[in-house]
Amino acid sequence: MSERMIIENISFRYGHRYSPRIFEGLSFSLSRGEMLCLLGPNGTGKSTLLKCMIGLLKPLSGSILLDGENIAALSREGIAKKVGFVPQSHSSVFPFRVRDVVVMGRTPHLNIFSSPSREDLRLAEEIMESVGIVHLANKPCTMISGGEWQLVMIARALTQRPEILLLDEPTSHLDMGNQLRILSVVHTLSRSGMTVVMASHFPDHAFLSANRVAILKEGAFAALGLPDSVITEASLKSTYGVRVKVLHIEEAGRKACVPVMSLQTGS
Amino acid sequence: MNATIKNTRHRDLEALELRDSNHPGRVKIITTAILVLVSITSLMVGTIYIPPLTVIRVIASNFFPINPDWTPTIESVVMSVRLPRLLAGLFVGAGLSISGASFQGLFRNPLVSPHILGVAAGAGFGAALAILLFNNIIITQLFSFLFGILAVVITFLLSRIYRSSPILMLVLAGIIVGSLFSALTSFIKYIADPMNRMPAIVFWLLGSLNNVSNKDLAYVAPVFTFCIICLLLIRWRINVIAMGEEDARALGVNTELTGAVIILCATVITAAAVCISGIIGWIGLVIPHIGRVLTGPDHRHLLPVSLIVGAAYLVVVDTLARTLLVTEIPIGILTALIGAPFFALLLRKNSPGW
Repeated sequence: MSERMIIENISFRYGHRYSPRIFEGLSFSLSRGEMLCLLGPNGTGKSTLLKCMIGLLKPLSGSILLDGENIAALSREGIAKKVGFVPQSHSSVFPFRVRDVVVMGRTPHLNIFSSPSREDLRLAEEIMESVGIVHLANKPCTMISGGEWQLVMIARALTQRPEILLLDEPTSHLDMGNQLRILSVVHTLSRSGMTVVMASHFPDHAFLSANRVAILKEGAFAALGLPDSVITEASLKSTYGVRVKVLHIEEAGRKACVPVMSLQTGS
Repeated sequence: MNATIKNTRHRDLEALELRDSNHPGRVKIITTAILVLVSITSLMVGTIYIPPLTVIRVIASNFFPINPDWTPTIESVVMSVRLPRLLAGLFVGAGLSISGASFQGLFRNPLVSPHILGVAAGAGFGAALAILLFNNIIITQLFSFLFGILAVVITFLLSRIYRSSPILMLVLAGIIVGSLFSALTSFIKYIADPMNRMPAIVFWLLGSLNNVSNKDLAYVAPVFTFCIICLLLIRWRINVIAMGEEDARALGVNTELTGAVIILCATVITAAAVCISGIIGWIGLVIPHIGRVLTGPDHRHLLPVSLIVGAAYLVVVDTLARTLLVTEIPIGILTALIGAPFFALLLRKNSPGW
């Protein structure tokens, strides 16, 4: 089968016995070249789910199989060779140069005593070229913009040479141009055969780049399937509690979500 | 047209790369030259002045057949008084600086010193206790070493109780354990005999390289060397950890193991430094900053440069401490008195960029 990752019936909660569960009994699978967009209101557990999927967090129950192996039994290195993770925007304390940050993606391929070789640096350079940030290579990573930082993080994850890429809200805080730039990078990657999972706050992004959408709400998937069938006016209303029109726009050649302001939203 | 633009851009990049890759190498060569220079100077000066050539020949005569044309006094001043002290200064300065640089990377905080996990407070208490009970130099050293390690072990265990963010908990636990041992040290000072024991404790806590013998060095030098080499070997990993614990784990780093190795090495180095020299603050905090100004934040270069600069700095300060006045000035006082204004100047001239 072409299934790269199988998530079976996982549940998670933070902290101790009496804290509430974030989600319960989630099951889905990811196949090669698939681009899954993960939607859901704030605080619904999208990040938590992604972190479970690379073993940063341990699910309470259930199992996550990566190419048939349970990730709980894999080493950090073993996971990082296959799965890349682009964390939610944060910044670095130290002003490392962008090139040095990107080449950190080679970590799982190096032993603990070695530094990146010329070969590794060349690969990092290539990937910076393909993501379009090669001009930043020598800049301190504390002096670049939010959009550039997000691209640096993607480049770093790609330098791992992963087969599966998880992105945690890669477009939050970005302007429209940068959002589209990131989406097109991600889109190209999934076209080339990489499996991509992207948590997002914009249902529109699913129409733009995803071939599957999941809506995570109140600890379970409210819907999971093709963008056209999952993202409807009814599902958006029940997910975000506001009225949204889903329209097909002839000039753009796709569907788009248009929020409608009403004076008494919610309650 | 497009090709030319791309070409010039590429050349610019290469030029940048060349300049950047030359830079750390040049810094290392220059700082090493300074280190050699201050080391020889430190052997020359003191109550009797010894010319540089004589110094070099006295040392060389241990390895090569050279006919001594110097007096036995000079031989013994160089070999058994100034050389052990110089070596102690080199080891302590290098060790504290590299530990500080590693800790600042591990804790992602440029305000952290190697004493953050309570090693100095523990070692200080151990020494004070030993002076109070035994007043024997070997027991004092042993106690300070063991209590320094013990303090960090307690810190480590305490941080395990809570499951959230282990790195942050370590720092908090370090503060708790540090203040506990500081209070105990104060208590010992309070009950110690104010004529003899109390001044001995106070002087010990102020730090000095005066009492270091060749025998102490024989015990401590291999420990320093081993731990310093360990830290140097994993220095690129410290870069990855400095990006944040979660990032590092996502990149395949076993952060618990690597963190434990860094903490173990830095703690043993610091405890070894404290047990032969007392508590010398400031160096482990500030030398890494000077290193960053000189060579940037990359730990591949920062660790070796901090090591060299720290060694040179402590030798300079110790030489001043024993030559400036008739009586010796406690080195812990001088490191800050000289270092603080120097650091302020450096920061003004060369902002490190955070």
